[in-house]
Amino acid sequence: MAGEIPDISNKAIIGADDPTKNAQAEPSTETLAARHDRAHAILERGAQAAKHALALDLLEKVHEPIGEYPYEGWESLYREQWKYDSFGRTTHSINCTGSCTWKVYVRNNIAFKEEQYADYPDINSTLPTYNPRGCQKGANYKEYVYGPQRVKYPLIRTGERGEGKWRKAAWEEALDYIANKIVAAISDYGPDTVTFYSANPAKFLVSYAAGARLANLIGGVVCTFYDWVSDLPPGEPITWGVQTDSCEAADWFNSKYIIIWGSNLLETRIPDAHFVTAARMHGTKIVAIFPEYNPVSIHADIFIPVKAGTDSALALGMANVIVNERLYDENYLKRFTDMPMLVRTDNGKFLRESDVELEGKAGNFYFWDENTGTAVLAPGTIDCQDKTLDIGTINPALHGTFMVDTLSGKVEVTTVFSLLLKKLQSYDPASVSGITGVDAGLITRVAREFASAKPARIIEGAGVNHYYHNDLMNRSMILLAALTGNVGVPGGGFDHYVGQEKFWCEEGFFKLAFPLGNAKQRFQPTTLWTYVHSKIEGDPETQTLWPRPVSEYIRESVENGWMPLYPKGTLDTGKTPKVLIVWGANYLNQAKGAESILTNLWPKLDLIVDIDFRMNTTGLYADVILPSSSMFEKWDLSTTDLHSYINPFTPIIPPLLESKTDWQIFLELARALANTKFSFEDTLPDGSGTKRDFSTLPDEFTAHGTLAEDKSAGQFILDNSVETRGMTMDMLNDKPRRFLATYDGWTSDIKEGEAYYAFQRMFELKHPLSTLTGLQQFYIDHDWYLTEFHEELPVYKPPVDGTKYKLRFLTPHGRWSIHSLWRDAKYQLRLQRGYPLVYLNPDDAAARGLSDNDSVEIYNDSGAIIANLCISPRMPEGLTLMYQGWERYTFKKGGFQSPTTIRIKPTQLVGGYGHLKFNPNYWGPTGNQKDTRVEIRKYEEVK
Amino acid sequence: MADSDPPAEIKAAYTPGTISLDPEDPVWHNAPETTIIFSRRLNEVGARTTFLPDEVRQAKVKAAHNGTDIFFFYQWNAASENNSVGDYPIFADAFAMEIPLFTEESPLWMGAMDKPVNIIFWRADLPAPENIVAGGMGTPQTSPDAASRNIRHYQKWENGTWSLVITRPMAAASENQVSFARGRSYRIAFANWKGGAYAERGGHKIVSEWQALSIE
Amino acid sequence: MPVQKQVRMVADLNKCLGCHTCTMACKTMWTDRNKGQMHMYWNNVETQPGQGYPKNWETLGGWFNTKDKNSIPLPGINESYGTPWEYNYGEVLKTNGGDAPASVLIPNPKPLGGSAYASNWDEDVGDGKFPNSYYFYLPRICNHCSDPPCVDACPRQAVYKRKEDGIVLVDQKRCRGYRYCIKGCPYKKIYYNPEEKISQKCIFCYPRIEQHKGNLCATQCVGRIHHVGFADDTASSVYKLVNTWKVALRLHPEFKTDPNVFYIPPLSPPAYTQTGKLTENQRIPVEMLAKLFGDTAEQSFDERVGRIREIFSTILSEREKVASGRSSELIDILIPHSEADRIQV
Repeated sequence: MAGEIPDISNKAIIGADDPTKNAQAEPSTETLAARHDRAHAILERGAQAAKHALALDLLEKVHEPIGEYPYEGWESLYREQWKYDSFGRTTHSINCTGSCTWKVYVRNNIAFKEEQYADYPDINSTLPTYNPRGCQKGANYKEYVYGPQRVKYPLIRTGERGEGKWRKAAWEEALDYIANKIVAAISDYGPDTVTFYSANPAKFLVSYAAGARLANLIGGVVCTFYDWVSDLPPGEPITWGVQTDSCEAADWFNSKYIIIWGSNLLETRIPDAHFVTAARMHGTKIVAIFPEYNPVSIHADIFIPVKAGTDSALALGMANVIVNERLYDENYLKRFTDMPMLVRTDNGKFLRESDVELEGKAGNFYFWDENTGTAVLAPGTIDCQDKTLDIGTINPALHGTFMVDTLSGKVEVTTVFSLLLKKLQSYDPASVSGITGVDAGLITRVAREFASAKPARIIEGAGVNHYYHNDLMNRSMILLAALTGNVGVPGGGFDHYVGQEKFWCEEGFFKLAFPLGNAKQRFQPTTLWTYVHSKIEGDPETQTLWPRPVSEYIRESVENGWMPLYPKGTLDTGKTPKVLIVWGANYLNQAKGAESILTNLWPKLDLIVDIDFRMNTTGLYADVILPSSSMFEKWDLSTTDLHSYINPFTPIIPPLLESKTDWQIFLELARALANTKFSFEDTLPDGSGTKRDFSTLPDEFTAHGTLAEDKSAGQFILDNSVETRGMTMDMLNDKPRRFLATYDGWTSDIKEGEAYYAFQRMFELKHPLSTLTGLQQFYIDHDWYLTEFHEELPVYKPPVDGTKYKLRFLTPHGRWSIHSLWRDAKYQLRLQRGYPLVYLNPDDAAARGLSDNDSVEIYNDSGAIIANLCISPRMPEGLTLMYQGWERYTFKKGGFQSPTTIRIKPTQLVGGYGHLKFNPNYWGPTGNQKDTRVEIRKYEEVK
Repeated sequence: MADSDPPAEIKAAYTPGTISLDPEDPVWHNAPETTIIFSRRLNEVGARTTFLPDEVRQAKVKAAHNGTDIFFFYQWNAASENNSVGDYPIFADAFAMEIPLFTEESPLWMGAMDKPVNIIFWRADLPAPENIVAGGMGTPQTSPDAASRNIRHYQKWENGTWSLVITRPMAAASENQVSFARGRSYRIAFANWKGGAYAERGGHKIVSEWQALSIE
Repeated sequence: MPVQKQVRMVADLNKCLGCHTCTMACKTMWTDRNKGQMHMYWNNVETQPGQGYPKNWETLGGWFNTKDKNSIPLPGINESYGTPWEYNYGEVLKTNGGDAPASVLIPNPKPLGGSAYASNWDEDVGDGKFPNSYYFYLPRICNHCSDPPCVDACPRQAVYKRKEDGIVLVDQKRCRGYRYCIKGCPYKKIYYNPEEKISQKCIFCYPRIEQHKGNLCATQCVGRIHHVGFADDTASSVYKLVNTWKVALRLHPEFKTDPNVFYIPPLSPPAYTQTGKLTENQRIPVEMLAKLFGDTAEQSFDERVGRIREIFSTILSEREKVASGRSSELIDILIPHSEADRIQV
């Protein structure tokens, strides 16, 4: 079988065709006469005897085949198919947040059947369990293991990029080729021209760490993913100073009221959606807010059809009802939000200690204490020594205007809450109804219900987070959760699920991925990198939104050191990246502004490497493809924010053909780099200098041989993380384990017998958040926010996609793929319509003369794609939808990102403001894409 | 109708030497031709409630043997060629010959448990005719033994006619086959199925009365 | 001779996610390794309202509900199932090296135009007018009917019902591919394998049932919608849902086959008036549901409507009980904690 993917037919698996069909009889040697004699003799004794004595395979007539049936022997056929030699455990390194543990059955060395392992330990006896956990895609990963998409050998491009011409190469040749290109780039242009991109450590901690570790050791740039794919909810870092912290899915069951807002759980959180349907049966009221009647809506108590992109108006309308009807939790607001914090009315800035005292600190802020009638310092602020939110005897005023003495005289101050009330007055239900299309009475009703149900929760997803003004949407919704005192309690809060930011074992992971330390690593916000290097000129809509062009904000941000941009000097000298190494991700397929990337960024790169187990769009447009082992063939670890367990990948079968694990590939690359004997002096982001000597790379990569194996790299993570101390890879192979503790980066302890929920340390332990004010901060007094953007408080701003094209183009996550994975898988495609599909309302289709299943062209100024049309009344008028992820080569023209561009919202370029400072995957500009409009017309193939 | 017709006599003449699987083989030039009438249908059991137009079909039969192998040559009219069962509503043309397995006579309709029949079943889509044993309606089964996969054939549909040559060693290869002995005479019956839109299959077919086959 | 035990399944449509994990769990076990099975979904999930799989199966008829049995059509692969398309992976992806002669992955035959079809063709299409659009998911396996028309239709008695569990099987040795069973089954849950030239169908995972393990569509259901047990086991959740609480109905009982798969009919969010006011009325017309679901063949349409309303009222009032802190056996069953709570075989 050398050189070929094994056959996985029943014949190969069982080792034969149906064994029951192969019974062989010896030819009769009896003479005819003898046989007749015998037959007649037997006939005297009856028919049955004839049949048996003559060894005839003669069927009897079955008179009533209900119940007794004499020929059950054939049934061994299917019993035989359900036999196996062994089974093993794995999961899927896919950015789906599933992190589901799977059992894979092996027979004749073929991994022939996957089944959900279903052995997560229960949290307690009342919550629904995590067993079974999986989906239809995970049920058929074997299609890729043995499929034609599998990359089996190193491939080196022989034609033009994207042309699909390849030659097989030996590992040594491919690695030397890459190593020489890296060395050339570093020596000619500097290490910050060597760029590494992968998506999300949580899905494969060891595999991710492999590439990052090499980047760290050679001085390369590691690109972010969470902000770039717009899964980062910027409103969380803005308001809470966190990346994202959400409850695990089991806590949904603890809610009494759930607003599912732009989070299509039924499609995008298949393993967890049952917690919502179970909660509903348990009496939890489910409200679904979506622009279209999507699958999650069908199981809701109320479906609210909001006009696409107006979600923050709706949230603020509900907030209006809650404040005007005094349905808010006053005590909570005083203790856990910045609502009572004093703001100067002259300049809109927080009143700072540095305004009041000569030695005062800029990171200390004031309440107005109603008990004493004075401004008093709030505890827990960023410069406060007391790391507590305990306000003691202070009774902060929520409303009012007060006069305070400052170094520059008397100044009028008011509270954030007073400013908010004023701001919210323009969001009365009637006005909001005009914006959102939602009945004013319904807005009021849902606001009241949400405020009175305890605990209540908003589950948010990409449906709102992928808009340009995603930060405002997040902030408006968080406001609802905070006004009602729901943040920090079981069953309550604002919980965001898109992408998989949470790799619980962060400490161990960071030690493995960045052995020189995070501070010495060049991290790059990918949205900015792609935007600048792809020469996105900026579309007219976003250019005119702000007082200055976006490019000026970018320059100021980079020059201020708020956001890094590699290579250094890009904006002034036109330096460009030279090498791009992508592993375990499909950068080019997922990139917004795909057309600009191919036109402008791609030609700048001297080397593009794609490391994957399957061919994908990035691979097709790369120079070298390295075959990584599949998810059945390696040791690794996976976690998710949707549950609180860690489960491993294990090598159930050996790596097929010439594939290697990511850890081994990067180790081999380290060896190839060592062979060049290259060395150079490097100045790191933290200002320190170092000499990098490539000849010692393999030794550094393996930590003197201790991390030579994938399994020991995984064990290193377990050993160095508070979540998993004392656990071993073998223990996890035996059974997934629940985390023992949480590290500082998360906002809650993990408690025995309780589902994890966020902000427990704030609410229960009074621990300050990492925000400037230490509180849930709805007021941002950064100069840009105050004077240029007018977003110091959450406001509604409409989508920015102009009016040139009529149809809003949504590219949501769907049930049939995880990004590009399974988009080219036959067994999944056979359960769809076989082609990329775009949905349209019947009236919109009729107006364009389109019929169901027509080939259509979807186009705007950015690009065009051809897809097939599905006409459905689930869609409102004016909206069109294509589930994302389709590989570029599944389209006759374009890719699903062709109509999109990259739009940077300058609010997300801010730094130097307390908690708003660049932090990879925590804070940086998001690569949103929902503010896109297109037109659709019938596509006629030119013959 | 056909009940009163005397059985046709099919003679398998002895021709020493090689006989090829070919309707053009010289052996057929002088072989006597017998016309069989398919005249009987069964509606109540086989296909339960299939109702078919009254119809009489015919086939021409020739037979020959060389002492070791016996050959049958059949021709019948078929307006279209139906040689596939590759989709739910698609059925193939078929033809069968039935001989009592070890009794002198068996019930025409697939024999009986104590009087089983041996059937050679040809269907246009199959790689080879099947050796079948049946002991009554609903019981026919392709013999599972490898030995009885000893039937070879030639088939061709042309200009509205099926030509079918079937051959088998005269000696039974297993318990599941009748042996053809020289000088002996056998009862033999035939069945014909029209595939295509007629969708004839299983009991839904048209059959002849018992005829006589004599081996020279 | 009647069966000694009858396996039954209840599917709670209020929890169905439409994720097709059941479909894939079944397909990857039983119908992805032999030729001629690509179009087979022993378990399929279809969006209702919709044409279903095979296309318009509800109108094709069956042995006990079609007067002229000769008139029962056999569905064709192309028109009723949709020819299973393949892709030109090798041409485009070139993972063995070489020059790609094609740059676009194309299904062949192309599912283009109005006659193209596949098992989930109508996914999420539904009916109604936005915002009052409606649809739900209907997972279907063989109903393992107590009066199975496929058994009756087979002239060879190659289809039979096992005495030990009532599972209906096509004897893969005895079947000669006559396809009367496919005509017989009004649910069109028997498939024909054009390569093996015999008929094949859901086997209710009997090799697992024999080991007291649930069938894969049920155990692998991520939505936990399935309950499986024996009809006479009064302790089983299927018994409680069907017999005690009477919240589960048969699909098209008027087909007269006495199916053993039951469904809890789906609630739906209320519809809006033309002026955008939320009403109290569930958006899926109860009449639409009553066309699908009922208790018995004899029941009138009006009785079915009444029963569905009664079931909704039972579920909603039990749910209310739990919401207000009281307990409910029904809700406890509908929120199974472990596999053992819903699968008792």
